Amino acid sequence: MTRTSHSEPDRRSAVAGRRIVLVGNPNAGKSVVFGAMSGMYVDVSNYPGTTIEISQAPYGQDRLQDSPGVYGLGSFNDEERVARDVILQADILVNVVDAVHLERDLFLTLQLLELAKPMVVALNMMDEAASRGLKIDPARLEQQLGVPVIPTVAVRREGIDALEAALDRARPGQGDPHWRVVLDELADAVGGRGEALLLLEGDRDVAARHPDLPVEAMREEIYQTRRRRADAVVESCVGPFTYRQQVRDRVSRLMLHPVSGALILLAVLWGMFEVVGVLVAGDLVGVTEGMLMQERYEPAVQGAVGRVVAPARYTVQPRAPLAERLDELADSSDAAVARAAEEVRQAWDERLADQPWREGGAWREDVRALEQVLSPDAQQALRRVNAWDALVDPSGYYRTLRFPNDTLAGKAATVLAGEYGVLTHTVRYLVGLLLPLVLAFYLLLALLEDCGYLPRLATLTDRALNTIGLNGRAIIPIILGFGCVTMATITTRLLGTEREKSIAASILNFVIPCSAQLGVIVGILALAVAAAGGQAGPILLYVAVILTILVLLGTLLDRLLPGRSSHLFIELPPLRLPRLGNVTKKTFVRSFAFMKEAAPWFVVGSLAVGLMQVTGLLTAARDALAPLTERWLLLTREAADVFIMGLVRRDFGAAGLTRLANEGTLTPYQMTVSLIVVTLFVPCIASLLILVKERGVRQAAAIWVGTWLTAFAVGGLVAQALRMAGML
Amino acid sequence: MVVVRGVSPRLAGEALGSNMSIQMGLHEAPLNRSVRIARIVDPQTRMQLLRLGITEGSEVICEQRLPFGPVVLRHRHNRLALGRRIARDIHVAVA
Repeated sequence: MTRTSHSEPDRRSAVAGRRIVLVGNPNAGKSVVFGAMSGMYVDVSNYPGTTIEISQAPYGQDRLQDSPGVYGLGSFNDEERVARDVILQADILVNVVDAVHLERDLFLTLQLLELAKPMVVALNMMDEAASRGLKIDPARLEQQLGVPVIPTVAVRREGIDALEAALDRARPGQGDPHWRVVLDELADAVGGRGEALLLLEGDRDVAARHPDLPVEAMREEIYQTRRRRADAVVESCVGPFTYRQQVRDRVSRLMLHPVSGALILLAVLWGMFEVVGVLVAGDLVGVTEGMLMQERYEPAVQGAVGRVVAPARYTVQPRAPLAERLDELADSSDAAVARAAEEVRQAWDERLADQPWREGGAWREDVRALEQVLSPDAQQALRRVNAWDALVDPSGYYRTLRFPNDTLAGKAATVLAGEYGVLTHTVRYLVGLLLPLVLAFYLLLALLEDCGYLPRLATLTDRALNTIGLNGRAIIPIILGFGCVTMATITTRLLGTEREKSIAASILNFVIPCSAQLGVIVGILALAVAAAGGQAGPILLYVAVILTILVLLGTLLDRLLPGRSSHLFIELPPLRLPRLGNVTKKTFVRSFAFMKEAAPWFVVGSLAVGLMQVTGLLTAARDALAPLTERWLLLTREAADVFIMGLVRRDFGAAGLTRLANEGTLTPYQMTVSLIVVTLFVPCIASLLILVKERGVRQAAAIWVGTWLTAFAVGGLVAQALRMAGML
Repeated sequence: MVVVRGVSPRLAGEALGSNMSIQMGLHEAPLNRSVRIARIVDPQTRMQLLRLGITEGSEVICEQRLPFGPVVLRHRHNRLALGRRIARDIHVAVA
């Protein structure tokens, strides 16, 4: 973002340190104007005490501040409150107005005029107005409002210079003469016209500040007269209105029609899947190379920890295919081959297991060195059965690291740099897995938002969401939930009532599988289907059970929770092509805000598991869970591992399942049961901690306990039912 | 003036011929026809709509209606989607 050149710095420093606040309706182009006026040093931070983000930037000697898009000042929701507070403290107001929707935008403008603050109006989107045949007279408008009115096309930077020049001509403007006397009197009593106006309009927060003044709220009257005045201004300044339908209006229609809308949605979902798949999988691969680069970072860290804290030892093990192959060979009827296999086993024990630490890829040399170690007879035998090349190829092996578990230093080292080490594993997870994922999903969200599809999606899904006590807006956290449930839980803030936030947070943490799990779930379902001889049974069962629980949970919460949910009331802005600059900015700002907020909790979670590991708590938990897993869920003992690991990170749980599934110890329907349990099981630690932060300890605890019960109850019931049906 | 609930759009259309002005909920309004807002029952909705430029007396067009779902209405160039419950409590008359 480049700075516009300002030729006379003195002009602005005349009144130093002014607070210039941008204000306007959502979708009026405020952020574009902000972007055009501000330079590179934009600071985005939460307004104190809220979760609403405010952008600020230095502007010469002054300060430029953006405010949340609102339709009016008041206390309908958090956005309005923050906008109100920011605006009341402003020195100069820049009201960005959408020229196409003047009758709507002028309501706020007229309200702002009552504040008697120096103001300038940016009449934005003049190009769109022209394309719709709207003729607006800015000079007339200026005369009626009493403040400078500057036509702009912010996306093309047209009029921005004029706007900036006009800042010095900012003046208070003409309020409604109807209310002038009342407001002036009250302003003296409460210290400011802004306070007075809001008090008269019945703003609860402001009223609380002046308990001694029993002012009768006249909001309805004030609003009606303001509306009439706005209509009159539009009447006199805007040419006759004719509706001109544009192509985008037809597209919008299609998006909302149940049939074509569903098709479009499927296309969008498919597109999302591709993008995320490419970005994340591609990034995953990129990061696996980065992980291989982390195989320089990690070993370096481990080496450092090894030097400073406690020396590590490593074991090189064959991957599953190779290990299986060797088992086969050991049972071979050919004596020479069986003997050779024994030799290999021995060599593995002696040369690859429990070795003292060495840097980087040195272990690969050990594998290749097997060539020298094994006898010529063995080599001959193994070559005969075509096993030799695989045996000495390092890519068939992987290395695990172990710090000694008996010393305190060793335990500390494990927590820091061991299997789930904070410095190694967590950093790799955050940078390599979570960050690309979060970027991808926020990018998608920003694209959908910017082109105007999101409100239409909310409209399309409203009816379905009503069945679980939510309205269309909740589709946003639900979509994000398939990315990262932690991210989605934070987004529940934008829902209308506490009740809806609770329902949405519960559904996210009970049912929705985050992408970490999703990939593995899809993979294992595919395996299950293959193992079941191509029958779609496992998939159908899984989807049916999960959907049922989703609907049941939502309905239950809808009935049990007090209060009523809000209904859909949403503006459908005109569709347009997403603007790259805006989209990337939103993506980065939100992603980094999320990482800043959530990353510490992932670290805490990792730390917790590391501690559990070294204190033996992890093993104890596994053993405690085993009987439940075996007898109630009818799975193998090892499956208990999967659930315990799922406590830490959802993908662990699912990945552990892949291992089990690959080993062939589970039948297709056993796999399905485990997937069901894994999906319904507790949220990962980071999610849990964010849940505590967002919804409070009681709700979080209820959800946590609830997921344990639901996961095992449902999993068990399904397992027992399958057994009775003879399908397990 | 007759206030009738649950009037089918066809009946409303037929009534156009007579001098009666039949009111119905926005969710039953005939599509793509100009209707006038007669009454907005809920004060909160009234305030929210007023800010957007829609009051009792405004002419709007019901553009789309999702089955049992939201209603899409247009006022001049502005489009809104209102949940069915909200739409039910906005009484309109065919203009």
